[in-house]
Amino acid sequence: MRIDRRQLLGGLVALAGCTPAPPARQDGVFAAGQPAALLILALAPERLLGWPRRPSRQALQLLPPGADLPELGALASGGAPADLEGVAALRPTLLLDYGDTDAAYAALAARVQARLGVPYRLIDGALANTPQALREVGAALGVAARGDALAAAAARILARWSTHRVDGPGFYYARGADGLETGFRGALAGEVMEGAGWTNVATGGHDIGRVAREQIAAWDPEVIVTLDRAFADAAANASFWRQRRGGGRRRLLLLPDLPFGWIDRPPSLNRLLGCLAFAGGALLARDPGAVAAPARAFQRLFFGIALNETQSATLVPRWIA
Amino acid sequence: MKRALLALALIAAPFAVILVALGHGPLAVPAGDLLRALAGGGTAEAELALSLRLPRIVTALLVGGGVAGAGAAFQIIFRNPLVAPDLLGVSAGAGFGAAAAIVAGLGMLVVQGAAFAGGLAAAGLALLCARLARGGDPRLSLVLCGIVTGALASALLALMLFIAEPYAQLPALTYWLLGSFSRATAGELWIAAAPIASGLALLLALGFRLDLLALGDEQARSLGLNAPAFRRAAIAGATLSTSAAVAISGVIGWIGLLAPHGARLIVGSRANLLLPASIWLGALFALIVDRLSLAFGPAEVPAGLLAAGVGAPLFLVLFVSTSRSGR
Repeated sequence: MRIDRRQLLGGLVALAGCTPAPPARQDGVFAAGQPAALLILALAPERLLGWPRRPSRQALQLLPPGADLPELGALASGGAPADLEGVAALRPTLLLDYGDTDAAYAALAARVQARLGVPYRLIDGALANTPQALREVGAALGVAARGDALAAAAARILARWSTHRVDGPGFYYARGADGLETGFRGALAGEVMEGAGWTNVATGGHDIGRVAREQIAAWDPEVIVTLDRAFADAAANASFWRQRRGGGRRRLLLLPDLPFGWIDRPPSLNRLLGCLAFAGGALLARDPGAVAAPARAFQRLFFGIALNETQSATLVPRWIA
Repeated sequence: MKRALLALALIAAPFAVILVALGHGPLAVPAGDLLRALAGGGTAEAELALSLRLPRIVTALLVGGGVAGAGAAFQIIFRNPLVAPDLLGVSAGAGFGAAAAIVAGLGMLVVQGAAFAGGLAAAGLALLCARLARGGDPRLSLVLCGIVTGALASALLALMLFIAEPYAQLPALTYWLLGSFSRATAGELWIAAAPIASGLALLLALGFRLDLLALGDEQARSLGLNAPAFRRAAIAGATLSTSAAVAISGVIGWIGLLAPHGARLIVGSRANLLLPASIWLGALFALIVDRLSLAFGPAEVPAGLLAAGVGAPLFLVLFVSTSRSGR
C-alpha cells in the first residue's frame, strides 16, 4: 500500500477541523500549490512553511531532511483547500503561486491578498519561463545569487532541449492504471516530449481526457510513454499495447516519478529533468542509463537530493523489453 | 397493436445498434473486411478492429442488462418503482473499493477486483444490519440499512478523493467514477461476465416468485413461499450482477431505474415478463450511451455522465406515462 499513514492521519485530522499547527518559521513562505512548493524548495527550502500536499513516503526518503514538512493544503490547485485562518496563523510573509496566470488565478490572488493582507505573487509556470521564474522568485526570497545560478542552469537545459530537436517518434502518453487517460497534443502534460521533437499522436482533444482502445490503435504510436509503473507492468506483455498495426513491436518507455515526475506531476521545475532526458534524442540514441549522471547532478543542484549510485541508476528512464 | 409494434421495434433495435457499433470506429475498415473477419478470415486491420469493438459492445450489453435486471428485481421485491440497483449501497461500496485500490497505486485488474469486493461488502453489511434489526417490516429495515451502508461507503469514498494524489490519482479516480465501457479487454470481460450472468440467471429463475414476494411475507407464506429465503436469493442475484457491472464499467447510474420503467410500459408488471424486458432495454440503453460517448471526438465523454444526462429526462417522461397508465 502506498498510503502514507501520517498523510492519512493528517487528512483525518483536517477533516475533523483541527489542523495541527506546523512549526513556526520566520519569514515563512506559503506555497499556494505544489508547483510553487518545488520552486521554494529549490531556492530557499528553509522558507517553505509546508506542503500543499505532502510528498509520498518514498519521495520524502529521497528529499533532504528539511523537506519533511507538514501538509498545509493548497490555495490554488494540487491539494486539499487550505483554511485561510490556518494560513494567517502561520504568519507568512509571502504567498506564492507558480503555474497558470490567467484571470481566474489572478482574481484568486487578489482576493486572498486582500483578505489576509499578505503579498500574493503569481509566477508564470510556462516551461520556457523557468529561468525568469527562478530569478524573480530568488530575488523575492532574498536569495538572488542562488536564483541566478539555478536560472542559468535551467536556461542551459532548456536551450539544449529546444534547439537540439530531433525528428522524434510518434508517442502516446499513457496515464492511469489502464493507460486510457492521456494528454492531448498541446497539453502541458506532453510539453516536454513535444518540445524535444517527439510527435504526440493524441489529437482532437483538449488537455487531459480518456480515449477508446480503438482510437489508440488507429493512432498507432511508435512509443508509449508513461510515469505509471503499475500500467507499465500490465502493458509490458499486453499485445494491444506492444503490437503495431504494421506488425512491428511498439516501444514502452517508463519515466521515473520519484521524488517528482520527470515530465509532470507536478508541473514545476521537475520537468527540467524530462527536458534533460529528451534533449537531442538522448533517450532514443543511447542507453537511458547515460542520463543518470546529469540527472543526479540536477537533483543535487536543484533539490539538494544526494542520490547514491544505486538510486541514481534506478531513477532513470527505462525502456521496457 | 401499437404496443406490439413498439415491442417489435425495441426487440430489433439492439441488433441495429450493434451493427452500427461494429461497423464504425476510428479504424477505417470496410464492411466487407469486417464481415470476413467475423467469419474467421479478413485482414489483420479488420481483425484488430473486431477485437477492440466486440469486447466493448459486449461490456455495454452486459452492464446495461445486469443493472437493469437488478433494478427490476429490486423494484418488484421492494414494491417501490423509485428503487435503483444500488439501493443497498453497492455502487458506493464498489466506488470505495476501486478508489482505495487506485490510491494504493495498484493495477487495473486489482482495481476491478476491489470494486467488486466493495460492492458485495456494502450489500452484505446492509443485509447483516437488517438481520440484526429484527422486528418490523424486513423490507423497510433493508432499505434503511442500505441507506446507512451507502452513506458510510460514500464517506469512505470521499476520504479516498481527499487523500488521492491530485495530479495522477485524482483524475484517474474521477474518470473511474464517471463510468466508461472502454476498460474491459476480452480476457477481463469473461471474468466479469460470469457473476453478471449468474446473477441474472438467478433472478430469471426466481421469475414469478418475485411477484409473490411483492405481496408481502404473510401472503407469500400462505402461498407456500419461504419469503425471507427467496428475498435473500433475489438480493444476492441483483447484488452479484450490479457489483460486477460497476467493477468493469465504473458507476453508470440511471439504467437500473430507467429500463424497468420502460419495460413496465410495454409488458406490464409481471416479473416473468418484466425482468427479461428490463434486461433487454437496459442493454439497449447502455449500448446507445456507449455509442454517444464516442460520438464527440477522440476524447470519450464519460458514459455515466451521458446516462444521467439522457436518462434523467427520459425517466421523467416514462414515470409520468407509467403513473397515468396506473402500472
